[in-house]
Parts: sequence; C-alpha cells; structure tokens
Amino acid sequence: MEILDRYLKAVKFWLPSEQKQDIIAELSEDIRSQIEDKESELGRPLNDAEVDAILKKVGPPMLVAQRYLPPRYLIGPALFPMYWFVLRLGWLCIYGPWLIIVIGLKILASFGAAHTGAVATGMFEPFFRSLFIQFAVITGVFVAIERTHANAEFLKNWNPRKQLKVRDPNRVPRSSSISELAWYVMLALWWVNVLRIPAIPGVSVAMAPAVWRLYWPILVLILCQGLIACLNAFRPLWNPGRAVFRGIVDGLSFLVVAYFLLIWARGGALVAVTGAKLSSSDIAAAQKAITYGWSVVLLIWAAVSFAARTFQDARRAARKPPICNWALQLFVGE
Amino acid sequence: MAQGNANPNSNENGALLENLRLELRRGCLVLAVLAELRNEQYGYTLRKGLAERGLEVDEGTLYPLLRRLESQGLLASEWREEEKRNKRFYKISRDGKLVLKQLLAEWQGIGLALDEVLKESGHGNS
Repeated sequence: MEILDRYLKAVKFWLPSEQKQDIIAELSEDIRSQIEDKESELGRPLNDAEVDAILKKVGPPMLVAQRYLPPRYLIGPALFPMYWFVLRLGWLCIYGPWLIIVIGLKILASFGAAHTGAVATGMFEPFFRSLFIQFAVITGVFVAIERTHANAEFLKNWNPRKQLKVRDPNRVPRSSSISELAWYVMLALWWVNVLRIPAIPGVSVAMAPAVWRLYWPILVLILCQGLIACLNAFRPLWNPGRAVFRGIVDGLSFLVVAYFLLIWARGGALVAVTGAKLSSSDIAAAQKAITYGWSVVLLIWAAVSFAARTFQDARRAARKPPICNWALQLFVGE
Repeated sequence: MAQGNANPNSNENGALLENLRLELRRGCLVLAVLAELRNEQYGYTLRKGLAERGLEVDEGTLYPLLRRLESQGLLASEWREEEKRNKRFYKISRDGKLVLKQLLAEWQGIGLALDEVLKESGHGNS
C-alpha cells in the first residue's frame, strides 16, 4: 500500500517529534481498518481510486496533523483587538496622511522635470521600509506582552468604575493642556531666540527673510495658543467663547502655514543656510531639503490638526457637543 | 410579513447550518466518548460504534480528542496486539467516571431547561 505509506509520511512530517510514532501508528491502524472493512464489504481488494477516496475523506496531511497540535498563536484573542487597533492607528494616522501628502508634494515638485514617474516610484521604498519596521515593532511588542502575560494582571483586576467612567466631551484633560502649554512655551522661547537648537559646527541655519516678515504675527499666534492651553489647564471645560477664540487663532495659523507653503511652492526657501566651507550647491540643497521637510510637516499639521480642531470648535461655538470619535480626538489632541 | 435573509437552499446557509451542527455536536462528543469507553475499545471500533448510534465522527476529531482526554487523566490507554496488529485500547479512568457522572447530570439539566424553553416558544414536542 504505497500510497498509504506516503500519506502517513506526509502527516508525520508536520507532527511534533515526540508524538510522531504514536500518532502515526494509531492513524495507520484506523485507515487500514477502514480499508479492510471496505474490502470485506466488496469482497475484493480496493483499487487505487477507492483507496484515494478513503484518504481524501481522512483529509489533507497538514490539516490532519494540525488537529493533533495545541492551538498556537503569537497574539491571543484577548490582546488581538488592541493589537489590531494600534496597527490601524499607525497606518491611518501616520501613513495615510503621509502617503497622500508626500505623493502630492513629490509630484508637484517634479512638474517640469523629465522624470516625474521616477520621482513618484522612488519614494515608495522608504515608505514600505518604515511600514514594515512599524509592523514588526508593534507585533514584537504585543508578542512580548502575550508571552510574558503582562496583560494578565490587568485583565484579572480591571475595574468597571475606573475603566468605564463617563467622559465629558467638553472637558479638556489637564495632562494634555499642560503638555500643550509646555510645547508653546518652548516654541515661543525658540522663536524669540532664547532657546537654541545645538548648532552644526561651521554651519548656520537661520530663518529666511520671507519668514522673518511674519515674526510678530507668529509670536502673537504662539502666545495665543499658549494662553488657550493655560486657560484650559485652569478651567478645563470648553465654552463657546473660548472655542470661537481658538477657531480664530487656528484659522490665522492656517493662513501662516499657507503662506509658508506658497513660499515653498514658488521654489523659495524657509531657511537661509550659511557656512564658510559649503559650496553654493550644498547650501541650495540643504535649504531645499529643510524647506521640503518643513512643508510636509506643516501641511500635515495644518490640514489634519487645524481642520479637525476647527470642526470641533465650530460645533462647540454652536453649542453642539463635539463629535466623540477616536480619530478626531487623536488629531485634535483632546 | 417581513422575509428574513436566510435562504434554506443556499450554499452559504448550508455551510452555516453545518458549522452550527458541528458546534452543537462538539460538546456532546466528550460525553459520548466517555460513556462509550466504559467498555474498553480501540479507536476504530469506538468510531464505528458512535457512527452506528448516529454520531459520526472523523478520525481527525476523535483521535486528538482521545489524546486530550487521556492527558487530562480521564482516559487510560495501552498498546496491545489484536488480530496480528498493534492497537491502542482506551478505557475510562476512575477520574473519568466521576467526571462522566457530573457531565451526565449537567447534560440532563440542560436537556430539561431546553425542553422548557422550546415548549414555551412553541417548538416543543408536547
């Protein structure tokens, strides 16, 4: 019975080594008994097709072997929804806008160039590389949690009163207001040149004259954003007046961002790089790279965060509750 | 009267019914196997015996189940030669008998409760 031996060998391949012999002996006995029963029923030896039919009924070797194995998974059912959520969050919040904006900017930047297609395809490599790294890191973290049962204590001791508390959509968490305030204080200190980024020896990076033209409006906007964060820290409930105020500040900030993007779109630079040892082509390349990087970041910031914040503030100004959606909350930072 | 989406003749519905049927039988299978193995048997005769009583079960389900029940201490097994072939004979253990008794009580409780539910919803026999 050559086919039966080959079948059993194929099943054996997928079985754990310590159980191979035992399982195969038992399975072999069962299949041989089936063949014998069929033969005595028909009164003749089975032909190839009839043996094949019996083996087909038993199932594909890998599937048969798999039934003897304990259920195995890298991330269990208790953790999987959270893992999937974090993975989607990464894709949606980082790569979604990034991909749209980078494709848009790259294609815009290559207008008039001879190799628009090459520019568009060349940028996918870093995208897929970072996508893979993100997937690997998140999966690795969750596998580690699963393996060490780090979530077991949480699942055992979860408290419905703590985890399911009612959240007022108009309440601003103090932690978020304080971190926002800290960010705007640092930004203001950097803008007035009190806080300096460590310099590269021999190279000086300063704002371009076109940016300096908006020095005071930008400072006022940063201080206004800081003031809102400060108000939120002390009185953590949105009211229509404060929502209108932030809507105006965000709207003006958006105009500033649009002005920066216009500079970039016209081929101008947002920074002026100088260095005694740098050639004019190095300087132009550095200015272009920094301007490009800023443009991407500012566009993401303006398009996503300001739009989401303005949407929520418009609802608050109209005395309507803000939309409670995790994506909006994430972008708005509330 | 509003019509449901389920079409009893569709393949999709057939697969769904098959899945539900398997799910329903899976729970009963442990009980049937423990009860059958009050008399020592080897895998193939056990499978045939269950099939003759209307509880067909394939090798891929029965043998892993027998191994699991043995590892849980509910069954005992030994390899023996019979009709010139080595066969693995299974028999219920002392712990298995205790568990079977408790499972039977549970099964009867479920049966009574289900009868009540079906009777109230008009699906009962009486």
